[in-house]
Amino acid sequence: MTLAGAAARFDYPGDDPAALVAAADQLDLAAARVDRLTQSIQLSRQALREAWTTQAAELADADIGVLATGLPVVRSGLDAAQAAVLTHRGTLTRIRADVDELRIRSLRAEHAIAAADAKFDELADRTDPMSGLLRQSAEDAGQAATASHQSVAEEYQQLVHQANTSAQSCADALASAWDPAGRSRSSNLADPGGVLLSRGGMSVSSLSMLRIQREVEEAIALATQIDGLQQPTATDPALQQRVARLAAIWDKDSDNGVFATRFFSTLGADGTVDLLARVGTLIQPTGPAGTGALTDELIRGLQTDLGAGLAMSTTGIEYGPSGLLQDSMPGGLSVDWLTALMARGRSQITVPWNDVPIQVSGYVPLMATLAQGQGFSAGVLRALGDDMRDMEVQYAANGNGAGDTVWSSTAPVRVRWDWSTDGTRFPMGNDPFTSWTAAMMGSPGASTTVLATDPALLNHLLNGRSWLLRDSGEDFGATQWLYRVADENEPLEGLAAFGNALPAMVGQGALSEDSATAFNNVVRALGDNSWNARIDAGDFQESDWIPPELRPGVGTMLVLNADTLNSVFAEPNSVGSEAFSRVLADVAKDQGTDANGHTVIDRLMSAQYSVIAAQSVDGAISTADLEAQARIAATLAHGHGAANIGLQQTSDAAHNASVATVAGVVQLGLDHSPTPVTWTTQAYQLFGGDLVQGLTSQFTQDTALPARNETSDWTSSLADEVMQTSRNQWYAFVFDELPPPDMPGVQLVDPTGRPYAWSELDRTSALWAVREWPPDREKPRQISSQMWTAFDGQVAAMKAYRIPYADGT
Amino acid sequence: MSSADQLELSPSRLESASEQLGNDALEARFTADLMSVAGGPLGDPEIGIGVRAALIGLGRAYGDGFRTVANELDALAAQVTSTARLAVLVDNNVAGYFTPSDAI
Repeated sequence: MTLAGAAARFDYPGDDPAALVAAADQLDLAAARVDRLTQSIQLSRQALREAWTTQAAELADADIGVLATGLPVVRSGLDAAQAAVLTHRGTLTRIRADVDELRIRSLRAEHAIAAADAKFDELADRTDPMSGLLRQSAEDAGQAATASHQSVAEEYQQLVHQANTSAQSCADALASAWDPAGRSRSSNLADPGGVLLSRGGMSVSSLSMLRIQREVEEAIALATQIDGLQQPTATDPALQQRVARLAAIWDKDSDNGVFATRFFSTLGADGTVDLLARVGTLIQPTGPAGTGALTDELIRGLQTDLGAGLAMSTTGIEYGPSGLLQDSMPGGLSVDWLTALMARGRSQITVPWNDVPIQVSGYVPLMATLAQGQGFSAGVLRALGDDMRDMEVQYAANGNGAGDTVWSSTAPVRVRWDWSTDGTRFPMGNDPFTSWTAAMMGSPGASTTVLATDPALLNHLLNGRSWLLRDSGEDFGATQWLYRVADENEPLEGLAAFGNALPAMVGQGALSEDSATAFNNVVRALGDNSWNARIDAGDFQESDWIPPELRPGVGTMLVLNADTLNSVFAEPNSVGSEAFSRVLADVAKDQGTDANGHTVIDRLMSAQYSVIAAQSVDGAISTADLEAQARIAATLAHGHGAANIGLQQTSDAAHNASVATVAGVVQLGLDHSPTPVTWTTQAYQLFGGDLVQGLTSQFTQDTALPARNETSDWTSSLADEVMQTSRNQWYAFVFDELPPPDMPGVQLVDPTGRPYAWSELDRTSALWAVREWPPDREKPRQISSQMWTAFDGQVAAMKAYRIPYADGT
Repeated sequence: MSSADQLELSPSRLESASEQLGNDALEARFTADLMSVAGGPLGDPEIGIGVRAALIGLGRAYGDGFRTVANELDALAAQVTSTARLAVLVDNNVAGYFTPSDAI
């Protein structure tokens, strides 16, 4: 029906009010049934309480209690829906009356138009003087009737609009009555009834305790029937079906903590680790995986759900004030269960691998699974970390080896314990501490607390443990090689992963006490020679005080905490300036660049500028902050220089071995050094000259000297840069205290009103500014001098960390 | 379940409570059926917007919800009954605690 057609007939817009009354009555009837159900449930609850007072009954009673309190909320939803329908009905009834009136007015207008037309026709043949007046009168009457008819049509349109608006309000109210959050509009909503129940306070988990119980029973039966020793494991249809069904149950309940807790508590700690191990070995890491129901995706999904379940069910386990683990909240798995889990983690368990029984430490499959979980408690993460550290320390103390030797399975090739990694990285799951790092990364806040409260564990990971995974003997190709199987220069990927996780785990010290403590702990562990034995084992220039794998991550952590760094270099904290200097200098050896092409020196100096800028805005800047900035720059320069000299020595060795020309050696040196960018570029440009030409002309067998010269130039340019920047920063801070210029030619701000930097002022303006400078503030020239002193002093102090050059300097 | 817990059971009362829960389930299912036809009396309007679709949506949501409630109540009733019977069976094997029950 078109609107024009409806308007011509003045149809009633919207629903039939009588039908709306019937619908409202139906809602009223339903509301009455809900009232009866509410009363009836109260009686059942009472009956159950009197008949059954055990723990199980309390559980059932809790379900009914949820229903009893939720039903009145549902009932109010029905009331709201009924009220909306009746309001809409009232509006439509009034509109219908208005439409009736419009119909009468329309008929009247139509009659008047017809009468005017007839009169006009009747006068058509008359020529007398009166006929003209009569014709005009008939024409006026016809026009008035036509206008009236048009007005009626417009009013009808308005009534249709009103009816539509009322209908929309009613529809919105009806939708809100069962879906207040509008979730039904989401494609994720599969169960509108679930929305209703949720609104009524009846959570699915609460109402489904019995369903959960049934599913736990089935899942346990399946889990215990996944007998890994039956052969062939991966192609047995019955086994495949059991695993697929178990995965389906876990997929359904992946976010259900009640299910997870019941599953793991029923299965037991030993059974849990055994299950994780069997799941991990069901299909080979390479080869004909994906036969039948068992696929990579299925195993990955099951492992992910199991990890998530373990995180949920252990969330209440934390360390108490006494330093012991305790159950901090009711429900969930207990400390005793976790203790048993760790005991099983330490033990060697037997699982099938390629249909042959192998042995593996329980911690390997356990941690590979936990790596898939998120939101672990600090207590659980720390307890697991401490327990694994103790095991490694005991192994080493007893002369049983370290690293992979502690955890290795007896499998002829690596098992792909961690199914979240792709084929090129799967051996990572063989190192439980690398898996532990992943679990830490998935637990923001908790991981920070662990690093803040457990410096001994942190020290073990940074300095003590071997992150070495050794090949098991046979070469099955690059995807199964482990770390440092070829030579000692291969990176330790697990250690690198731990280093890269440090920024996220430590966070920003300014934001939380734990972060500040964790940051100090990392710096102490790496920069204090009583913790880090590498410091006394070799010269700074020739050895790695911080493992190269850690430097990028530690660098980012330092950037994140640039404000703390500035404070410490202004006034040393409890860790001491020496540890901070060592860490900062050694991190500066890293000449790699990040995704934006910035070296760690670029990023740290940029962060320093931001810190000073923020202090300037807050009015909190002091010359001590600028001096700290100069010391930081000098420290970074020291590390950069040491790395440069080291690179030259590498080039030298390469030259002696295989390169015939001096220019070739230099080029090789450059090849080893990433293209300098930003800060580094500025510094190179400032000292000028062609590097290749310069080094070639000075090349001797001892390339440390030319490298030293280059480093010296670079360091000087950095000092110049810091002095100039500090002057600009100090001027920007003091600018507000200067009076308005009172002499011609003085220009302190640019056309947009932004203060010029000190280095941008012309001579006249600079002289005027110096003359008007606040008497209690250091003048720009003094700042330069102070910064140079701070920089130079730090450079001199850092010389203690290197051996003298060939010329004795 | 400890033996002390078992002594607190009243199998006949449990049977009665189970029956009551079954009736609650019937009531919830009836309400669900009622809601499932909530949009029934309404047709499409000749002109303008109607609320039939919204009423049907409401009815479907409430219908699904009360059916879930009914299913859970049924399951709970069955659980109460089976637990009562299991408790008596266990009691039969615990010397000194068995009390014959006419409910089983």
